[in-house]
Amino acid sequence: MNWLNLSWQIYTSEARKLMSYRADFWAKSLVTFLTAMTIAYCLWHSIYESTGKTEIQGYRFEVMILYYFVILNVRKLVEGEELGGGMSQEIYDGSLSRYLIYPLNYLRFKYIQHLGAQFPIYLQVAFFTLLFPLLFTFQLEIPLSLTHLLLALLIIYLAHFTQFLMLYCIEGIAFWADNIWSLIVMLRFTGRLLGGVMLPLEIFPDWATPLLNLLPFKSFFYLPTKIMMGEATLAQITSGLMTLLIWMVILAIVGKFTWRRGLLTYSGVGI
Amino acid sequence: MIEVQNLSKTFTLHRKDPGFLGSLKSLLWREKIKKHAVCDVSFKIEPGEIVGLLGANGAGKTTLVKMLSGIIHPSSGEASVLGYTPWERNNALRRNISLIMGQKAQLWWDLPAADCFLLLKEIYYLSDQEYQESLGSLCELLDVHSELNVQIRRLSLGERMKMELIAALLHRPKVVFLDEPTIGLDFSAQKAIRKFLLEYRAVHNPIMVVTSHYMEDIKQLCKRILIIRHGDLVYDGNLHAVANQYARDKTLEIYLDTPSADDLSFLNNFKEVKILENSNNRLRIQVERNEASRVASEVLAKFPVTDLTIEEVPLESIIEKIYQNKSH
Repeated sequence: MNWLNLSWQIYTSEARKLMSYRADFWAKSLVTFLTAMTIAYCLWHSIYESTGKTEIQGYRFEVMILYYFVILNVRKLVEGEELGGGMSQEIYDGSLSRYLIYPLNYLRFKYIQHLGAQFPIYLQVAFFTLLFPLLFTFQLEIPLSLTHLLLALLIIYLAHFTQFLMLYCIEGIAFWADNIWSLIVMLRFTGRLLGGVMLPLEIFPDWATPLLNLLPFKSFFYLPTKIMMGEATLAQITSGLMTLLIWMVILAIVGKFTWRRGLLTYSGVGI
Repeated sequence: MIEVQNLSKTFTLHRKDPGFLGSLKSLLWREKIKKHAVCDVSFKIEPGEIVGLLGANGAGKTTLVKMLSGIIHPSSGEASVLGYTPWERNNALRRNISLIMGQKAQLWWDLPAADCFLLLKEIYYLSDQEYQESLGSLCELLDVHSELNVQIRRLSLGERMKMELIAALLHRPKVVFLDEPTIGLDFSAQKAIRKFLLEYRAVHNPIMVVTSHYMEDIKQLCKRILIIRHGDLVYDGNLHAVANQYARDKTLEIYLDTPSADDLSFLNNFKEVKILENSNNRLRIQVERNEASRVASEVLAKFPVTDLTIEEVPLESIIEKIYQNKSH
């Protein structure tokens, strides 16, 4: 029970902290989401118009806009607002020291904090979902069942955890390297490109498919989006789940090793 | 109890030549240098003791505290705090120690103090009753009830330090490391923190290891001091005994009924006597500390004295000289 109480306290503290910055909370989410949707709308509108096609790689224009709407929300749920860098910053400025003195597991603490930071995003995603019918007056039939929805949410949760482990591994490099910001930016950019956030994966050439299946990014964003659009098969879902689980194990081992070695070199600067 | 045996810590640092060429060169190759922060230090601290850890900037005090609190690993040597090796970070030990860093906020900046304390209550698994009792008495001692719901970032330095103290003592630790607890505070805030620490100690009797550049902190709080110079432990003993060991001289300040003392030839009978001043009814003589009372008796017998005091070299000066490896 003690551990549950602590987890709840960490979770709510982080959520309260983020929601205390009200202007930032709405401005950041509205601006980034509406900008991304506007770019997608204008870009694909002109592509469909200039090519005269009604369908590109199986996507009608309305379905393409729905795809972007869903995947941008999935991205927010998986990644959160922040680009990362919190753990590496704590190594650089010595704030990590307090967690080494407290009787707690740092990884667990940071993950629950990371989960707490997601709470405002749930509110934002709910708000945007309500906004969609007002912004776009498409007639779309989405064959989404409760089972599909629950499966998509499970994959989003596992993806969120896996990308946290990925950050944990990369930010641990800060024990040796003076700046790891570029690595985090590269990870995010690569993840979004290969996860279908920038372009639907059907547009990628065939030779890229094995690589996309091997990396976890497809399961991060594209798979839950397709499940929610009612377009994923059971085989695709199973394979995506397996990929996520394998990556979770690999990243957990690499992260544990990196941090164990890193803590031996930690000098606790700043105090 | 804290036991330290032959503890050493060496850091590896990178050296970069200045300028653009230096930066280009460092992209390909960086020179590594070794810095010995703590060298072969050994000591023991008994339960309930308050010990002052003194040394100039970069002497190795904070590195030693970081090793004893488990933040960093040593390069060699052993240490035991309450029976545990600190850098193994056993939770049983971590529930019984705390570290207060005057130069570094440990509380969460974006949360009010009350929320930070609630989080710490769960981290230390305190029951509601333990938490309420502890928080109530600490807030009472530090008089901070009205600031509990203010975000940490909006508190003044003095108020923030009080909150840091509450956060560090909420779980009633058996060992408290205080690293510069009064740094940057005004005189009355320093006094309040010292008073609080003494009151807290009287009730709970923890081991306290205090590092501070303010001698007043050390004088008020500690009977025993450890002095570290360039990573070496050069003094371990009573605060006031440091004068006997390191200050060879005392100064006699004598006020006379006459403008000056005429014949001071009797001083030749004493070793290492130095007349610092002999005018305007004032005579100042520096003598070896063991001879001070004999010289004073002679002066009293030979001259019409209106006032006489025997002055010790100020503790600050003695310790400064030890930092610089000089003797008085």
